[in-house]
Amino acid sequence: MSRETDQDWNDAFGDPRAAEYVLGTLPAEERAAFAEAMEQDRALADMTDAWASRLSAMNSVYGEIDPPSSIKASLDRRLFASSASSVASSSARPGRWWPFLGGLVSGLAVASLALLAMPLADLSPFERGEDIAGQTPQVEPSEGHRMVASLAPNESEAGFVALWEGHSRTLNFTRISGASPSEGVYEIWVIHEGADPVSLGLLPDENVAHMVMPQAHADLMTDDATLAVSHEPDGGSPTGLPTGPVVAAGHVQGI
Amino acid sequence: MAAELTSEEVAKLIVRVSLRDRQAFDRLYAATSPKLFAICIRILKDRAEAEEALQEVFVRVWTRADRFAISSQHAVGWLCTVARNHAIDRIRSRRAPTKDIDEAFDMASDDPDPERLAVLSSEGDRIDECMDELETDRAQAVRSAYVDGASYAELADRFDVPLNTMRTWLRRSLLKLRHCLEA
Repeated sequence: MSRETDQDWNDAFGDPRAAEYVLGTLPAEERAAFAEAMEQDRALADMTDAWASRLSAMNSVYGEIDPPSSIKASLDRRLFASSASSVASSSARPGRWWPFLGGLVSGLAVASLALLAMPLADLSPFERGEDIAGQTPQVEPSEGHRMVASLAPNESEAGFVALWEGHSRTLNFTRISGASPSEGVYEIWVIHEGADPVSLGLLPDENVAHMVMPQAHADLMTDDATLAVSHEPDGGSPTGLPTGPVVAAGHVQGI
Repeated sequence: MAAELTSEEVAKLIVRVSLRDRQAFDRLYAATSPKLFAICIRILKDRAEAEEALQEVFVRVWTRADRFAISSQHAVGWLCTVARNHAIDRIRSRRAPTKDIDEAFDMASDDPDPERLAVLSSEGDRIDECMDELETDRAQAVRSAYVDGASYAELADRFDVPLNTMRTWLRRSLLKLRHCLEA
């Protein structure tokens, strides 16, 4: 942290880099280092967000300039074209998921899953002492639940452990085997029997990801759900349903 | 061609984009790309690069729309942040600015178009008042950094002060702004 002899900037104002990041003045290396730190540190990200809000009124000076229409066309090609041909077939038969999921066996006991998942939570409210036992009365009891899932590889090398913290709506996703795909992306899905899979977002390249879910997704994290990871084109499934192979999946279990 | 949207409508579109709704993405692009393109042009000062950057910005909007849910920023602010962050990442990793900063002032209109986004009008007043409380050159430095993406080195050069002095100026100015905005 760069805490210089700036008399009037003390700890009460947080990390000055958060303000400088938003202002945009940090040199390239510092800027990149701060962006990475922010990915790992929710407090830093919130601080930066607050500065962005404070200074956002200056955005009004930018005005508007119409971009050439060719940009949207090439954006669409980049995001959606590569898998457009698979749209019809995949959305037409979401049922192909079920034979595979029926045979799923969770290989690890719940207790050992919890142990595996625990070190990920070091930035979570849980570890900061606001324990699960309910010391956060503003949170509805139903949102305070924690669950785990072991996503076993399915004809792939990719295995994951997921820890869900309902309290902060955070899905902590840890790769325990395999690597990021060399082409395309991994996308995470939550599945309830009889319903179409719902995307929870793309899995970042990092081995450990902390993803905060919107309420609509948080509501799907119940102990009868299954989490699955599919291999999708860049930008994720263009159809809203999995289009590529399932590389790993596992049942969600309450802890 | 662009729709007139309120911040709440933009927020709903972003949430729908996070659920992979392409129609929502198309509407969001139509409504907000002129604003985000103006940001890219103003900061990058190079039209061809701004076009590349705008695409990249919307790729990020598509892939990271779920992050909007955890942001405390309002919807248009969040989009502007994605655009500014990307444009500034680009200029910071360049070896030298392609054009003189003063020349670039002429490239983008300073007049916001009131018809496209109704969101930005009321908020400018307060920050203007707070800027007025800063010394003139410091307020100019803050605006130049935020709006044009000027670096510490460029600002130090322009205001003819050592780089560390510029850094201190800006840090103190930011704190004063914060006090004023939260007063």
